[in-house]
Amino acid sequence: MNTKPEKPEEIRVWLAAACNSAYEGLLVGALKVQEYFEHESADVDRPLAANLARYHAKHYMLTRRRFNAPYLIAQPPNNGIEIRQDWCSVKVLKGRDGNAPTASSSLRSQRFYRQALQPRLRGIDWAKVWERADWRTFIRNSFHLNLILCWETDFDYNISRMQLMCPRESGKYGEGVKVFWKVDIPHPVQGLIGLESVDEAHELEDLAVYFEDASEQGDDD
Amino acid sequence: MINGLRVKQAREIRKLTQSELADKLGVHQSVIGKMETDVREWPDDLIRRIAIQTGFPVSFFEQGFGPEFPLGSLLFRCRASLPANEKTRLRQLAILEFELTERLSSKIKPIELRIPSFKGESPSDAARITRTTLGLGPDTPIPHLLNKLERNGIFVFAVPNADDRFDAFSLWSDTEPRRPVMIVNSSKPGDRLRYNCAHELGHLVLHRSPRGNLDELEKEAQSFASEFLLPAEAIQSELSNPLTLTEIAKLKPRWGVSIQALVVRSHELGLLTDRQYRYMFEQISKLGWRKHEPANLDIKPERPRLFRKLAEIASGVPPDAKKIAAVLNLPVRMVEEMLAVHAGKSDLPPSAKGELSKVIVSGSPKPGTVLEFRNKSN
Repeated sequence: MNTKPEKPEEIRVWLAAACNSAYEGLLVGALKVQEYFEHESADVDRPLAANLARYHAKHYMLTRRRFNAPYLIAQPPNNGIEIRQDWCSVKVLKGRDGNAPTASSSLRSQRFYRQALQPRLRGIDWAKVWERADWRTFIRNSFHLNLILCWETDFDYNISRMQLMCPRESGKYGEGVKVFWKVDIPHPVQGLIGLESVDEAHELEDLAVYFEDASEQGDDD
Repeated sequence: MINGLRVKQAREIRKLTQSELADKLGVHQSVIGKMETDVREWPDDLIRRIAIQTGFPVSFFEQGFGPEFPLGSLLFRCRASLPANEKTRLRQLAILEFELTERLSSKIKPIELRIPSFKGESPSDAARITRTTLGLGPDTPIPHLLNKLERNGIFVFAVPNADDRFDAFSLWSDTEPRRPVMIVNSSKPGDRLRYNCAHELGHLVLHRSPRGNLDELEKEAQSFASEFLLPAEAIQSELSNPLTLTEIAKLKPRWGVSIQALVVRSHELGLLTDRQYRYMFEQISKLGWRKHEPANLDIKPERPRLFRKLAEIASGVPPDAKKIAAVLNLPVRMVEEMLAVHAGKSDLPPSAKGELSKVIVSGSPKPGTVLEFRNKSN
């Protein structure tokens, strides 16, 4: 338990490969949506667009996933995307105005939001256990963590925001989801580190300067 | 005797109009106008006051003519909003740096000029031939571009306190032999600086005597820079569909060019559709990367070396700005600023640092002694 990342930012970094893959996939998906509706000369149909984006995102994620990637991609129905990494499940959902969508009416969905998908222990109702727990108590005592990777688009269907959220309770429709925390996911380009630059890879030689009255000096080219 | 062109040079470096200088001196503008077109005696008091107002020593105005960078020959790469007086200041500072370099290198064998000249070739073909001439592979990134240009005989200078809207300009000097000169804004990000240098190199090899439509000349230099830095075949082989901004951005450090340049190049090469191209630029704009690309992919800017290297040979390491300023009777502060924007010995990696001492030890002068400079007759 002690080796688990605890701070939201640490969790984001720990999940970076998975989040970046989903982000990239959704960027590809959003472009496909734009191309589709441009080709059809039609206004963007939002429900269809979200479905299309998820379809292409999932295709991208599955085809680009490296065999040694630390995460797995689950395939829930209706083009859903869910990522599993170690003790953590991440649902990729489309949100709005910085909020995740509320849970569906299914019991499993409700339990996901209330962090109740934990090992079954006799006499323990996890949802009740966490009801008053703060984040620290929760993360130190839970066996499983449920997160939401929440993506949003602007009017032209560009990805406008991507957030990682830790839900606490779904809340009623219109009230918004209650969360332990949420952090912004930077564009995958901002996560590219450690790439060797053109100059670092080659040694620099100083300019060769020769005096008029001296024989060959300095370096040669 | 006062050389009017030197008065003009000092005035333009201080961004003063003739009228403004005249007002400061309490004389009519026509006095300054007349002074700047002539070489003749003027009252000592007037010259002293000009020296005070411009910060240049009186001896500066008593010198002969320096080299010229004729305005018509300059191909400026800058934003349209760059004020004319800033352009003029940059040009005059560059002339002084060039003149100083010429004087400091009077005991030095000229660096052999190895850049081709073209007439009629397409910019892409010219870029490929130039790569070969400079000893570069046809499909590899170009490390230490400025160093490469200087080693092949191009005088590259940086100008101090350059306006952010200024990128670079280049020309062939009017000296004998003619020398390709490139002036850059070294405060630009490394990727931008490299692109500017490649663009100016395009002008130097394609437009030795620039004629014709300026937009056309710029387009040609742009095409040259694209092929020179990002050879078509290499880029085509390194990118595969579906192309994302991240896949493209991964090439930035390796090729030393901006993400935007890579997106434009990918589009030029047909690797991106018009829609994809627009989509990527929408992302770039929304993320605020048009001006500042993400810091994790920054390319360290290179600085030109020749100017400071000659100063180091002449006056020791670090160079003595006072001694160097005396060569052309310049304000010491100005020379300090000029030296600061050029790469010094301490900026080089340890493996390259031995070179300068090798030259001083095996050449005729003792370390730390000032070389005799070529003086132009006044």
